Amino acid sequence: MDFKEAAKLGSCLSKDYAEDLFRLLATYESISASEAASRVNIHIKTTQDFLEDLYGLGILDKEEVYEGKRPYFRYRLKVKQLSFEIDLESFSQGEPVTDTRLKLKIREKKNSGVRFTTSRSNDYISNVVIWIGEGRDRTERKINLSLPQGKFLFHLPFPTADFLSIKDIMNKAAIENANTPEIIDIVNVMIEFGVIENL
Amino acid sequence: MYFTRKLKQDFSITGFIPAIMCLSISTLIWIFIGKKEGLFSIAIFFVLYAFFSIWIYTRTMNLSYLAASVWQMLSGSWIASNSTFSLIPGINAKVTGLIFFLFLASTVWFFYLVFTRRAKWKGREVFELASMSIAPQPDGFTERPRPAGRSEYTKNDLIGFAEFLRKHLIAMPYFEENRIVFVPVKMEDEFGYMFNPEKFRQKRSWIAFDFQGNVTVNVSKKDYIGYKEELSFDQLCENLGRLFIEFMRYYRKDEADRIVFKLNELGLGLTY
Repeated sequence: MDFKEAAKLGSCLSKDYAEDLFRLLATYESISASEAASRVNIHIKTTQDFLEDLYGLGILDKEEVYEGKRPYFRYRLKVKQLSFEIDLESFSQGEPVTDTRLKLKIREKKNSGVRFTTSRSNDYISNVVIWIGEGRDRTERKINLSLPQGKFLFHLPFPTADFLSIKDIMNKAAIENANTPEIIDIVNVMIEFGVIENL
Repeated sequence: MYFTRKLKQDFSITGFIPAIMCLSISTLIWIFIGKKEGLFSIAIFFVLYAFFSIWIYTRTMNLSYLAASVWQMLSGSWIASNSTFSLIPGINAKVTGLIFFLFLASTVWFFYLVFTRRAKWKGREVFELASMSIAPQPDGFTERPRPAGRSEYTKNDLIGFAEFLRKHLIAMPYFEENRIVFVPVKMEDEFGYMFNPEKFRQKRSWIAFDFQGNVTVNVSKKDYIGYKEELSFDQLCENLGRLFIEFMRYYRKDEADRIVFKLNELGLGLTY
């Protein structure tokens, strides 16, 4: 299950009426939205959306039936258990330390106009405040940094200094290889916001 | 020593303002109330100045402020006790003579210290020295501190070094939990430091030595725009760090006098 589907399912399960509706679905051979809504005492549209979401996720099956002139759907459970797995590894940007990204040469961009706040001990940056937009639309974006990220930015070359590779800066700042993904992440963010420039 | 000055000229007269005000008030008292009262007010101002100087001495342990305090106290006492002015009647002429003799002696002492630059706050010298070999390069400023490297010293060395820099008015130390931060104070800026040291340091450049041997530098915008041109910011921070690491090396080798010599060698004026 991908993250979006998992989020949708999580959203369905978190509803106040979810347990009651699942109890009905497990009890009935099949049930329509109006029947379920009247039993749980909620609006039919709410019930309809809930059942459609579960159908979209492949948890329910639906069948169009005709009684009189108006067709409607009856829903039945396809599964007896619900479980989902999300592969969080796929979110990681982690690649081997020899990654070419570590050879990227960077430094602080001239006139980036950001504010770096140093920690109390003054040996790493604790957060970066970036201003986005112009005039009245100007907004402030504050990015709090992890300790390795703070140490990394503390050792980032100044705007008039020579470019240094990410790996060299990590060495200067004595950052362990295990922290490489989060360093790459903050570098990407800083490049995106125009705080860091690269060769 | 000839060198091209990188700092803008400083024409501020902040340090003279209290003296000018005191003199103006005494002149007005002289004109509108009388000569005796005018002179008496001058004597009082001298004594007040003496207390102010001794207060600075206790904060910096700089000998010139002790000399200034003695000189000011004796100046006030001499004016008050002089029979010509007869401000305080009934004082023995021998006592007045002794005060005058001590006043002359303290004058020599005080002005000797002034002209040998011992009374000079040496922040400008520090920034001139740090910028000496740096070429202009615009748009380099950032408010981030910069790691300036490592230096070998013990905690006691560092504390002694801090006392030395304070005593010679080179940089004022701020003692923190795990480091000592040095803030160079320029002439005319000293009152800002004396009256509110914490506020003073907020927008000033600093050099920090932690107890593990790491040296960090931060050049403030206020000090950076004090230069005539936009210098390479990275090099400026690096040089400032190296300068203080070198100072520490001199101090540890018992050659601390070379620090003062190096700064005085620039030959900047006595009052700026």
